[in-house]
Amino acid sequence: MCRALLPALLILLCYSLPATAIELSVFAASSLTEAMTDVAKHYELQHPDVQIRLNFAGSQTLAMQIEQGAPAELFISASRPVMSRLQERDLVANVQPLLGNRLAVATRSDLQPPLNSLRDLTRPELLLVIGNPQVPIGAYTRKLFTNLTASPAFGSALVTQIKKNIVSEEGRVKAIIAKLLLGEADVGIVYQSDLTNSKLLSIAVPEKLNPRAIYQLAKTTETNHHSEQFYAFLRSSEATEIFRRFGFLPGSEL
Amino acid sequence: MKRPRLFNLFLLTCGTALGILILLPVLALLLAASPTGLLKLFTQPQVLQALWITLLSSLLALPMIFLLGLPSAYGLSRCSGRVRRSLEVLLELPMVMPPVVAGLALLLAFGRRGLLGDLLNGVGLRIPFTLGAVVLAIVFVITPFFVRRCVVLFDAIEQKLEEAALLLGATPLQTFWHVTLPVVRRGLFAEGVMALAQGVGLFGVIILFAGNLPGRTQTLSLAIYSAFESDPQQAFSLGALLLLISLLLLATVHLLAPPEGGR
Repeated sequence: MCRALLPALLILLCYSLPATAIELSVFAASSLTEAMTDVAKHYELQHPDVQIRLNFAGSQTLAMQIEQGAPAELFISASRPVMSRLQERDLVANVQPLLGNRLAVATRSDLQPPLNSLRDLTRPELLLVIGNPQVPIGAYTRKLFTNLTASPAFGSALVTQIKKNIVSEEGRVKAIIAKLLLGEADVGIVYQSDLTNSKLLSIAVPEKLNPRAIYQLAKTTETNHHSEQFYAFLRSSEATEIFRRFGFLPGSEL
Repeated sequence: MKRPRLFNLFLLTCGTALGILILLPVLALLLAASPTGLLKLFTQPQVLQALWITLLSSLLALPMIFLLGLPSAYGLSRCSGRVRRSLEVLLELPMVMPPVVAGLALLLAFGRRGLLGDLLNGVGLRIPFTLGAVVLAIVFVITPFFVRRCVVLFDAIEQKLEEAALLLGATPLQTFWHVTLPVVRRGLFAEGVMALAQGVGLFGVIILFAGNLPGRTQTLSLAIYSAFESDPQQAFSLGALLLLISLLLLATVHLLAPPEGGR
Protein backbone atom coordinates (compact mmCIF):
# COMPACT_ATOMS: atom_id res chain seq x y z
CA MET A 1 0.00 0.00 0.00
CA CYS A 2 2.74 2.42 1.07
CA ARG A 3 4.78 1.61 -2.00
CA ALA A 4 1.86 2.47 -4.24
CA LEU A 5 1.19 5.77 -2.51
CA LEU A 6 4.76 7.03 -2.53
CA PRO A 7 4.97 7.97 -6.23
CA ALA A 8 1.59 9.64 -5.99
CA LEU A 9 2.78 11.70 -3.04
CA LEU A 10 5.93 12.67 -4.92
CA ILE A 11 3.91 13.82 -7.89
CA LEU A 12 1.66 15.87 -5.62
CA LEU A 13 4.72 17.41 -4.03
CA CYS A 14 6.12 18.43 -7.41
CA TYR A 15 2.90 20.16 -8.32
CA SER A 16 2.66 22.03 -5.05
CA LEU A 17 6.20 23.41 -5.17
CA PRO A 18 6.09 27.18 -5.63
CA ALA A 19 6.81 28.25 -9.19
CA THR A 20 10.09 30.10 -9.46
CA ALA A 21 8.92 32.57 -12.11
CA ILE A 22 5.81 34.67 -12.31
CA GLU A 23 3.68 33.51 -15.21
CA LEU A 24 1.85 35.92 -17.44
CA SER A 25 -0.74 34.49 -19.75
CA VAL A 26 -1.23 36.39 -23.01
CA PHE A 27 -3.84 35.42 -25.63
CA ALA A 28 -3.08 36.70 -29.13
CA ALA A 29 -4.53 36.37 -32.64
CA SER A 30 -2.72 33.68 -34.60
CA SER A 31 -1.38 36.13 -37.22
CA LEU A 32 0.81 37.53 -34.42
CA THR A 33 2.53 34.20 -33.75
CA GLU A 34 6.07 35.04 -34.87
CA ALA A 35 6.06 38.69 -33.81
CA MET A 36 4.63 38.11 -30.33
CA THR A 37 6.98 35.20 -29.71
CA ASP A 38 9.88 37.53 -30.44
CA VAL A 39 8.47 40.35 -28.31
CA ALA A 40 7.94 37.97 -25.40
CA LYS A 41 11.50 36.66 -25.71
CA HIS A 42 12.85 40.22 -25.51
CA TYR A 43 10.74 40.97 -22.47
CA GLU A 44 11.78 37.80 -20.67
CA LEU A 45 15.46 38.65 -21.22
CA GLN A 46 14.91 41.97 -19.46
CA HIS A 47 12.71 40.47 -16.74
CA PRO A 48 14.13 37.07 -15.82
CA ASP A 49 11.52 36.66 -13.07
CA VAL A 50 8.64 36.77 -15.55
CA GLN A 51 7.61 33.98 -17.87
CA ILE A 52 5.15 34.77 -20.64
CA ARG A 53 2.78 32.04 -21.70
CA LEU A 54 1.46 32.76 -25.19
CA ASN A 55 -1.72 31.24 -26.49
CA PHE A 56 -2.31 31.74 -30.23
CA ALA A 57 -5.59 30.96 -31.97
CA GLY A 58 -8.31 32.68 -33.97
CA SER A 59 -9.52 35.79 -32.15
CA GLN A 60 -13.01 34.35 -31.80
CA THR A 61 -11.73 31.10 -30.29
CA LEU A 62 -9.64 33.05 -27.78
CA ALA A 63 -12.62 35.24 -26.87
CA MET A 64 -14.70 32.11 -26.29
CA GLN A 65 -11.99 30.74 -24.02
CA ILE A 66 -11.90 34.00 -22.04
CA GLU A 67 -15.69 33.92 -21.72
CA GLN A 68 -15.45 30.37 -20.41
CA GLY A 69 -13.01 31.53 -17.75
CA ALA A 70 -9.64 30.72 -19.28
CA PRO A 71 -6.90 32.54 -17.38
CA ALA A 72 -5.61 35.35 -19.57
CA GLU A 73 -4.10 38.60 -18.38
CA LEU A 74 -3.81 40.31 -21.76
CA PHE A 75 -5.68 39.78 -25.00
CA ILE A 76 -4.76 40.97 -28.50
CA SER A 77 -7.61 40.58 -30.96
CA ALA A 78 -7.53 40.93 -34.72
CA SER A 79 -11.27 41.47 -34.76
CA ARG A 80 -12.98 44.53 -33.40
CA PRO A 81 -16.45 42.99 -33.05
CA VAL A 82 -15.00 40.22 -30.92
CA MET A 83 -13.25 42.70 -28.65
CA SER A 84 -16.39 44.83 -28.33
CA ARG A 85 -18.34 41.76 -27.29
CA LEU A 86 -15.91 41.07 -24.44
CA GLN A 87 -15.99 44.75 -23.51
CA GLU A 88 -19.78 44.74 -23.27
CA ARG A 89 -19.59 41.82 -20.88
CA ASP A 90 -17.00 43.62 -18.75
CA LEU A 91 -14.44 40.90 -19.34
CA VAL A 92 -11.80 43.27 -20.69
CA ALA A 93 -10.76 46.86 -20.00
CA ASN A 94 -8.31 49.47 -21.34
CA VAL A 95 -8.90 48.54 -24.97
CA GLN A 96 -6.32 50.28 -27.17
CA PRO A 97 -5.41 49.95 -30.84
CA LEU A 98 -1.99 48.31 -30.84
CA LEU A 99 -1.07 47.48 -34.41
CA GLY A 100 -2.22 47.71 -37.96
CA ASN A 101 -1.88 45.33 -40.84
CA ARG A 102 -2.60 45.36 -44.56
CA LEU A 103 -3.76 42.67 -46.89
CA ALA A 104 -1.37 41.11 -49.35
CA VAL A 105 -1.92 38.83 -52.31
CA ALA A 106 0.64 36.07 -51.99
CA THR A 107 1.56 33.58 -54.70
CA ARG A 108 3.76 30.53 -54.59
CA SER A 109 7.16 31.39 -56.01
CA ASP A 110 7.20 28.77 -58.79
CA LEU A 111 3.88 29.76 -60.36
CA GLN A 112 4.22 29.92 -64.14
CA PRO A 113 3.57 32.39 -65.64
CA PRO A 114 3.88 34.63 -62.57
CA LEU A 115 1.08 37.00 -61.62
CA ASN A 116 1.79 40.66 -62.20
CA SER A 117 -1.28 42.48 -61.01
CA LEU A 118 -4.61 41.96 -59.27
CA ARG A 119 -6.16 41.58 -62.71
CA ASP A 120 -4.27 38.32 -63.17
CA LEU A 121 -6.32 36.82 -60.34
CA THR A 122 -9.02 36.22 -62.95
CA ARG A 123 -6.81 33.76 -64.85
CA PRO A 124 -8.86 30.58 -65.35
CA GLU A 125 -7.85 27.48 -63.38
CA LEU A 126 -5.96 29.54 -60.81
CA LEU A 127 -6.33 28.00 -57.33
CA LEU A 128 -7.18 30.83 -54.92
CA VAL A 129 -7.43 30.27 -51.16
CA ILE A 130 -8.89 32.91 -48.82
CA GLY A 131 -10.13 33.11 -45.22
CA ASN A 132 -13.69 32.15 -44.39
CA PRO A 133 -15.99 35.11 -43.75
CA GLN A 134 -16.22 34.35 -40.04
CA VAL A 135 -12.54 35.02 -39.28
CA PRO A 136 -10.93 38.48 -39.47
CA ILE A 137 -8.74 37.74 -42.52
CA GLY A 138 -11.80 36.49 -44.40
CA ALA A 139 -13.85 39.51 -43.39
CA TYR A 140 -11.11 41.89 -44.56
CA THR A 141 -10.82 39.94 -47.82
CA ARG A 142 -14.54 40.51 -48.47
CA LYS A 143 -13.95 44.18 -47.78
CA LEU A 144 -11.20 44.17 -50.40
CA PHE A 145 -13.61 42.54 -52.87
CA THR A 146 -16.19 45.24 -52.09
CA ASN A 147 -13.58 47.94 -52.65
CA LEU A 148 -12.52 46.36 -55.95
CA THR A 149 -16.13 46.15 -57.09
CA ALA A 150 -16.67 49.84 -56.34
CA SER A 151 -13.43 50.90 -58.03
CA PRO A 152 -13.81 51.96 -61.68
CA ALA A 153 -10.45 50.37 -62.48
CA PHE A 154 -11.69 46.89 -61.56
CA GLY A 155 -15.46 46.53 -61.31
CA SER A 156 -17.88 43.79 -60.41
CA ALA A 157 -17.35 41.56 -63.47
CA LEU A 158 -13.70 41.20 -62.54
CA VAL A 159 -14.51 40.39 -58.91
CA THR A 160 -17.00 37.73 -60.00
CA GLN A 161 -14.26 36.17 -62.11
CA ILE A 162 -11.84 36.23 -59.18
CA LYS A 163 -14.40 34.63 -56.86
CA LYS A 164 -14.80 31.75 -59.29
CA ASN A 165 -11.18 30.77 -58.62
CA ILE A 166 -11.70 30.31 -54.87
CA VAL A 167 -11.09 26.66 -54.01
CA SER A 168 -11.02 26.83 -50.22
CA GLU A 169 -11.92 29.10 -47.32
CA GLU A 170 -9.64 28.52 -44.38
CA GLY A 171 -10.28 29.23 -40.71
CA ARG A 172 -6.78 30.53 -39.99
CA VAL A 173 -4.44 32.71 -42.01
CA LYS A 174 -1.59 30.29 -41.26
CA ALA A 175 -3.53 27.54 -43.04
CA ILE A 176 -3.65 29.68 -46.20
CA ILE A 177 0.13 30.16 -46.03
CA ALA A 178 0.63 26.43 -45.48
CA LYS A 179 -1.38 25.53 -48.58
CA LEU A 180 0.73 27.97 -50.63
CA LEU A 181 4.00 26.65 -49.24
CA LEU A 182 2.86 23.09 -49.96
CA GLY A 183 2.23 24.16 -53.54
CA GLU A 184 -1.38 22.97 -53.46
CA ALA A 185 -2.75 26.49 -53.90
CA ASP A 186 -1.47 29.09 -56.35
CA VAL A 187 -2.48 32.29 -54.67
CA GLY A 188 -3.87 33.38 -51.32
CA ILE A 189 -5.06 36.57 -49.69
CA VAL A 190 -3.23 37.02 -46.40
CA TYR A 191 -1.78 39.78 -44.19
CA GLN A 192 1.29 41.72 -45.21
CA SER A 193 2.92 40.55 -41.98
CA ASP A 194 2.67 36.96 -43.20
CA LEU A 195 5.01 37.67 -46.09
CA THR A 196 8.15 38.70 -44.24
CA ASN A 197 10.50 35.80 -43.91
CA SER A 198 8.59 33.45 -46.14
CA LYS A 199 9.19 31.96 -49.55
CA LEU A 200 6.21 33.55 -51.23
CA LEU A 201 5.89 36.32 -53.80
CA SER A 202 3.34 39.06 -53.57
CA ILE A 203 1.32 41.29 -55.86
CA ALA A 204 0.78 44.92 -55.01
CA VAL A 205 -2.70 45.92 -53.81
CA PRO A 206 -3.46 49.61 -54.49
CA GLU A 207 -3.10 51.46 -51.18
CA LYS A 208 -6.53 53.10 -51.48
CA LEU A 209 -8.38 49.82 -51.93
CA ASN A 210 -6.45 47.88 -49.29
CA PRO A 211 -8.46 47.54 -46.06
CA ARG A 212 -6.57 48.23 -42.86
CA ALA A 213 -6.72 45.54 -40.23
CA ILE A 214 -6.51 46.78 -36.66
CA TYR A 215 -5.32 44.76 -33.69
CA GLN A 216 -6.59 45.82 -30.30
CA LEU A 217 -4.88 45.20 -27.01
CA ALA A 218 -6.82 44.85 -23.76
CA LYS A 219 -6.32 43.88 -20.16
CA THR A 220 -8.68 41.38 -18.70
CA THR A 221 -10.28 42.37 -15.45
CA GLU A 222 -7.88 40.32 -13.35
CA THR A 223 -4.61 42.14 -13.78
CA ASN A 224 -1.64 42.73 -11.55
CA HIS A 225 1.52 44.76 -11.45
CA HIS A 226 3.31 42.41 -13.87
CA SER A 227 0.64 42.41 -16.53
CA GLU A 228 0.46 46.23 -16.31
CA GLN A 229 4.17 46.32 -17.01
CA PHE A 230 3.93 44.02 -20.02
CA TYR A 231 0.94 46.01 -21.30
CA ALA A 232 3.12 49.13 -21.23
CA PHE A 233 6.00 47.27 -22.88
CA LEU A 234 3.81 46.18 -25.79
CA ARG A 235 3.13 49.83 -26.52
CA SER A 236 6.75 50.94 -26.07
CA SER A 237 8.97 51.94 -28.98
CA GLU A 238 11.07 48.83 -28.42
CA ALA A 239 8.15 46.46 -29.02
CA THR A 240 6.89 48.63 -31.87
CA GLU A 241 10.24 48.24 -33.61
CA ILE A 242 9.94 44.44 -33.42
CA PHE A 243 6.37 44.50 -34.72
CA ARG A 244 7.47 46.74 -37.57
CA ARG A 245 10.19 44.25 -38.47
CA PHE A 246 7.50 41.58 -38.81
CA GLY A 247 5.55 43.73 -41.25
CA PHE A 248 3.00 45.35 -38.93
CA LEU A 249 2.10 49.01 -38.90
CA PRO A 250 2.69 50.66 -35.51
CA GLY A 251 -0.33 51.83 -33.55
CA SER A 252 0.75 55.47 -33.70
CA GLU A 253 0.27 55.48 -37.48
CA LEU A 254 -3.30 54.18 -37.33
CA MET B 1 -17.76 -16.98 -8.16
CA LYS B 2 -19.26 -14.55 -5.68
CA ARG B 3 -17.46 -11.24 -5.83
CA PRO B 4 -16.92 -9.35 -2.58
CA ARG B 5 -19.46 -6.59 -2.12
CA LEU B 6 -16.88 -3.83 -1.90
CA PHE B 7 -15.43 -4.83 -5.26
CA ASN B 8 -18.87 -4.84 -6.84
CA LEU B 9 -19.45 -1.37 -5.48
CA PHE B 10 -16.15 -0.25 -7.01
CA LEU B 11 -17.15 -1.62 -10.42
CA LEU B 12 -20.51 0.09 -10.19
CA THR B 13 -18.95 3.45 -9.26
CA CYS B 14 -16.49 3.35 -12.14
CA GLY B 15 -19.21 2.31 -14.58
CA THR B 16 -21.50 5.10 -13.44
CA ALA B 17 -18.72 7.66 -13.67
CA LEU B 18 -17.94 6.58 -17.23
CA GLY B 19 -21.63 6.67 -18.13
CA ILE B 20 -21.91 10.22 -16.85
CA LEU B 21 -18.72 11.23 -18.66
CA ILE B 22 -20.21 10.01 -21.95
CA LEU B 23 -23.76 11.24 -21.49
CA LEU B 24 -23.14 14.63 -19.89
CA PRO B 25 -21.47 16.35 -22.89
CA VAL B 26 -24.01 14.77 -25.27
CA LEU B 27 -26.84 16.06 -23.11
CA ALA B 28 -25.21 19.49 -22.79
CA LEU B 29 -24.95 19.80 -26.56
CA LEU B 30 -28.55 18.78 -27.12
CA LEU B 31 -29.70 21.23 -24.43
CA ALA B 32 -27.64 24.07 -25.92
CA ALA B 33 -29.38 23.62 -29.26
CA SER B 34 -33.03 24.54 -29.03
CA PRO B 35 -35.51 22.61 -31.22
CA THR B 36 -36.43 25.85 -33.00
CA GLY B 37 -32.75 26.50 -33.64
CA LEU B 38 -32.46 23.03 -35.13
CA LEU B 39 -35.47 23.56 -37.39
CA LYS B 40 -34.17 26.95 -38.47
CA LEU B 41 -31.03 25.23 -39.79
CA PHE B 42 -33.06 23.65 -42.57
CA THR B 43 -34.01 27.05 -43.94
CA GLN B 44 -30.37 28.09 -44.45
CA PRO B 45 -28.93 27.24 -47.87
CA GLN B 46 -25.39 26.99 -46.43
CA VAL B 47 -26.48 24.31 -43.98
CA LEU B 48 -28.42 22.37 -46.60
CA GLN B 49 -25.36 22.51 -48.86
CA ALA B 50 -23.11 21.17 -46.09
CA LEU B 51 -25.63 18.44 -45.28
CA TRP B 52 -25.80 17.49 -48.95
CA ILE B 53 -21.99 17.37 -49.29
CA THR B 54 -21.75 15.28 -46.13
CA LEU B 55 -24.27 12.70 -47.28
CA LEU B 56 -23.09 12.69 -50.89
CA SER B 57 -19.43 12.15 -50.01
CA SER B 58 -20.23 9.38 -47.52
CA LEU B 59 -22.53 7.63 -49.99
CA LEU B 60 -19.95 7.89 -52.78
CA ALA B 61 -17.26 6.53 -50.48
CA LEU B 62 -19.35 3.53 -49.47
CA PRO B 63 -19.08 1.50 -52.72
CA MET B 64 -15.33 2.08 -52.77
CA ILE B 65 -15.03 0.95 -49.16
CA PHE B 66 -16.95 -2.24 -49.99
CA LEU B 67 -15.07 -2.84 -53.23
CA LEU B 68 -11.66 -2.52 -51.60
CA GLY B 69 -12.55 -3.70 -48.13
CA LEU B 70 -14.75 -6.73 -48.58
CA PRO B 71 -12.39 -8.93 -50.67
CA SER B 72 -9.46 -7.79 -48.52
CA ALA B 73 -11.29 -8.74 -45.35
CA TYR B 74 -12.27 -12.15 -46.77
CA GLY B 75 -8.71 -12.80 -47.90
CA LEU B 76 -7.32 -11.70 -44.55
CA SER B 77 -9.68 -13.94 -42.67
CA ARG B 78 -8.36 -16.88 -44.71
CA CYS B 79 -4.75 -15.99 -43.85
CA SER B 80 -3.04 -17.08 -40.67
CA GLY B 81 0.21 -16.81 -38.80
CA ARG B 82 2.81 -14.17 -39.52
CA VAL B 83 1.29 -13.02 -42.82
CA ARG B 84 -1.97 -12.23 -41.13
CA ARG B 85 -0.33 -10.42 -38.26
CA SER B 86 1.75 -8.16 -40.51
CA LEU B 87 -1.27 -7.37 -42.68
CA GLU B 88 -3.22 -6.48 -39.55
CA VAL B 89 -0.48 -4.08 -38.48
CA LEU B 90 -0.68 -2.46 -41.92
CA LEU B 91 -4.41 -1.99 -41.40
CA GLU B 92 -3.86 -0.42 -38.00
CA LEU B 93 -1.54 2.21 -39.45
CA PRO B 94 -4.25 4.58 -40.75
CA MET B 95 -6.30 3.85 -37.64
CA VAL B 96 -3.71 5.26 -35.25
CA MET B 97 -2.66 8.12 -37.54
CA PRO B 98 -3.76 11.49 -36.15
CA PRO B 99 -6.31 12.97 -38.59
CA VAL B 100 -4.13 15.99 -39.38
CA VAL B 101 -1.19 13.72 -40.16
CA ALA B 102 -3.45 11.63 -42.40
CA GLY B 103 -4.45 14.79 -44.26
CA LEU B 104 -0.83 15.80 -44.74
CA ALA B 105 0.10 12.30 -45.87
CA LEU B 106 -2.70 12.31 -48.43
CA LEU B 107 -1.54 15.69 -49.75
CA LEU B 108 2.02 14.39 -50.06
CA ALA B 109 0.76 11.36 -51.97
CA PHE B 110 -2.00 12.77 -54.17
CA GLY B 111 -1.30 16.52 -54.04
CA ARG B 112 0.06 18.51 -56.94
CA ARG B 113 3.63 18.12 -55.72
CA GLY B 114 2.95 14.72 -54.21
CA LEU B 115 4.35 11.35 -55.21
CA LEU B 116 1.60 10.80 -57.76
CA GLY B 117 1.33 14.51 -58.59
CA ASP B 118 2.95 14.38 -62.02
CA LEU B 119 1.05 11.26 -62.98
CA LEU B 120 -2.32 12.77 -61.99
CA ASN B 121 -1.39 16.05 -63.68
CA GLY B 122 -0.59 14.13 -66.84
CA VAL B 123 -4.11 12.78 -67.09
CA GLY B 124 -5.54 16.16 -66.10
CA LEU B 125 -6.72 15.15 -62.63
CA ARG B 126 -6.56 17.48 -59.66
CA ILE B 127 -7.67 15.88 -56.42
CA PRO B 128 -7.12 18.39 -53.58
CA PHE B 129 -9.97 20.91 -53.09
CA THR B 130 -12.52 18.67 -54.83
CA LEU B 131 -15.33 16.41 -53.70
CA GLY B 132 -13.10 13.56 -54.86
CA ALA B 133 -10.64 14.53 -52.14
CA VAL B 134 -13.40 14.32 -49.51
CA VAL B 135 -14.35 10.86 -50.77
CA LEU B 136 -10.74 9.67 -50.95
CA ALA B 137 -10.10 10.91 -47.41
CA ILE B 138 -13.13 9.00 -46.13
CA VAL B 139 -12.08 5.82 -47.95
CA PHE B 140 -8.52 6.14 -46.62
CA VAL B 141 -9.54 6.59 -42.99
CA ILE B 142 -12.62 4.37 -42.79
CA THR B 143 -11.73 1.29 -44.87
CA PRO B 144 -9.25 -0.14 -42.33
CA PHE B 145 -11.90 0.01 -39.60
CA PHE B 146 -14.38 -1.62 -41.97
CA VAL B 147 -11.96 -4.41 -42.89
CA ARG B 148 -11.08 -5.08 -39.26
CA ARG B 149 -14.73 -5.58 -38.35
CA CYS B 150 -15.52 -7.62 -41.47
CA VAL B 151 -12.63 -9.99 -40.71
CA VAL B 152 -14.34 -10.71 -37.40
CA LEU B 153 -17.56 -11.50 -39.29
CA PHE B 154 -15.79 -13.84 -41.72
CA ASP B 155 -13.78 -15.49 -38.94
CA ALA B 156 -17.00 -16.46 -37.21
CA ILE B 157 -18.27 -18.49 -40.17
CA GLU B 158 -17.97 -22.23 -39.72
CA GLN B 159 -15.39 -23.54 -42.15
CA LYS B 160 -17.51 -26.70 -42.63
CA LEU B 161 -20.13 -24.73 -44.55
CA GLU B 162 -17.63 -23.57 -47.15
CA GLU B 163 -15.90 -26.95 -47.27
CA ALA B 164 -19.20 -28.64 -47.97
CA ALA B 165 -19.93 -26.25 -50.84
CA LEU B 166 -16.47 -26.83 -52.32
CA LEU B 167 -16.87 -30.62 -52.00
CA LEU B 168 -20.17 -30.39 -53.83
CA GLY B 169 -18.32 -28.86 -56.75
CA ALA B 170 -18.82 -25.13 -56.31
CA THR B 171 -15.96 -22.87 -57.36
CA PRO B 172 -14.41 -20.66 -54.63
CA LEU B 173 -16.15 -17.62 -56.15
CA GLN B 174 -19.51 -19.40 -56.14
CA THR B 175 -18.93 -20.48 -52.56
CA PHE B 176 -18.11 -16.91 -51.52
CA TRP B 177 -21.13 -15.50 -53.36
CA HIS B 178 -23.78 -18.10 -52.53
CA VAL B 179 -22.64 -19.44 -49.16
CA THR B 180 -20.36 -17.05 -47.32
CA LEU B 181 -21.97 -13.70 -48.19
CA PRO B 182 -25.55 -14.69 -47.32
CA VAL B 183 -24.40 -15.85 -43.89
CA VAL B 184 -22.85 -12.48 -43.03
CA ARG B 185 -25.37 -10.37 -44.96
CA ARG B 186 -26.92 -8.66 -41.95
CA GLY B 187 -23.56 -8.04 -40.35
CA LEU B 188 -22.19 -6.52 -43.55
CA PHE B 189 -25.15 -4.23 -43.86
CA ALA B 190 -24.60 -3.03 -40.30
CA GLU B 191 -20.89 -2.47 -41.04
CA GLY B 192 -21.84 -0.42 -44.08
CA VAL B 193 -24.03 1.85 -41.98
CA MET B 194 -21.27 2.05 -39.37
CA ALA B 195 -18.83 3.16 -42.10
CA LEU B 196 -21.33 5.86 -43.12
CA ALA B 197 -21.62 7.03 -39.51
CA GLN B 198 -17.85 7.23 -39.14
CA GLY B 199 -17.37 9.02 -42.47
CA VAL B 200 -19.95 11.67 -41.63
CA GLY B 201 -17.89 12.90 -38.68
CA LEU B 202 -14.42 13.24 -40.24
CA PHE B 203 -12.82 16.65 -39.89
CA GLY B 204 -9.05 17.06 -39.65
CA VAL B 205 -8.17 14.98 -42.66
CA ILE B 206 -10.79 16.69 -44.83
CA ILE B 207 -9.93 20.27 -43.96
CA LEU B 208 -6.29 19.59 -44.85
CA PHE B 209 -6.74 17.49 -47.94
CA ALA B 210 -9.96 18.83 -49.43
CA GLY B 211 -10.07 22.36 -48.06
CA ASN B 212 -13.19 24.14 -46.93
CA LEU B 213 -15.47 25.61 -49.59
CA PRO B 214 -19.21 25.85 -49.00
CA GLY B 215 -21.08 23.90 -51.66
CA ARG B 216 -18.05 21.97 -52.83
CA THR B 217 -16.04 20.43 -50.00
CA GLN B 218 -17.59 21.86 -46.83
CA THR B 219 -19.13 19.00 -44.87
CA LEU B 220 -21.16 19.49 -41.70
CA SER B 221 -18.13 19.11 -39.43
CA LEU B 222 -16.28 21.79 -41.38
CA ALA B 223 -19.36 24.02 -41.25
CA ILE B 224 -19.40 23.67 -37.46
CA TYR B 225 -15.79 24.78 -37.31
CA SER B 226 -16.48 27.82 -39.51
CA ALA B 227 -19.65 28.73 -37.65
CA PHE B 228 -17.89 28.55 -34.30
CA GLU B 229 -15.71 31.52 -35.30
CA SER B 230 -18.63 33.92 -35.54
CA ASP B 231 -21.77 32.36 -34.19
CA PRO B 232 -21.30 29.79 -31.42
CA GLN B 233 -25.07 29.27 -31.15
CA GLN B 234 -25.16 28.18 -34.79
CA ALA B 235 -22.24 25.84 -34.09
CA PHE B 236 -24.18 24.26 -31.21
CA SER B 237 -27.22 23.68 -33.42
CA LEU B 238 -25.09 22.22 -36.21
CA GLY B 239 -23.30 20.04 -33.66
CA ALA B 240 -26.60 18.73 -32.36
CA LEU B 241 -27.73 18.03 -35.92
CA LEU B 242 -24.58 16.04 -36.66
CA LEU B 243 -24.98 14.20 -33.36
CA LEU B 244 -28.58 13.29 -34.19
CA ILE B 245 -27.53 11.97 -37.60
CA SER B 246 -24.84 9.85 -35.96
CA LEU B 247 -27.28 8.57 -33.34
CA LEU B 248 -29.74 7.65 -36.06
CA LEU B 249 -27.08 5.72 -37.97
CA LEU B 250 -25.88 4.04 -34.76
CA ALA B 251 -29.41 2.94 -33.95
CA THR B 252 -29.70 1.48 -37.46
CA VAL B 253 -26.47 -0.44 -36.94
CA HIS B 254 -27.82 -2.03 -33.80
CA LEU B 255 -31.18 -2.83 -35.32
CA LEU B 256 -29.42 -4.58 -38.20
CA ALA B 257 -26.51 -6.18 -36.40
CA PRO B 258 -27.04 -9.77 -35.41
CA PRO B 259 -27.23 -10.17 -31.63
CA GLU B 260 -23.99 -10.93 -29.77
CA GLY B 261 -21.92 -9.67 -32.72
CA GLY B 262 -21.65 -13.20 -34.14
CA ARG B 263 -23.69 -14.65 -36.95
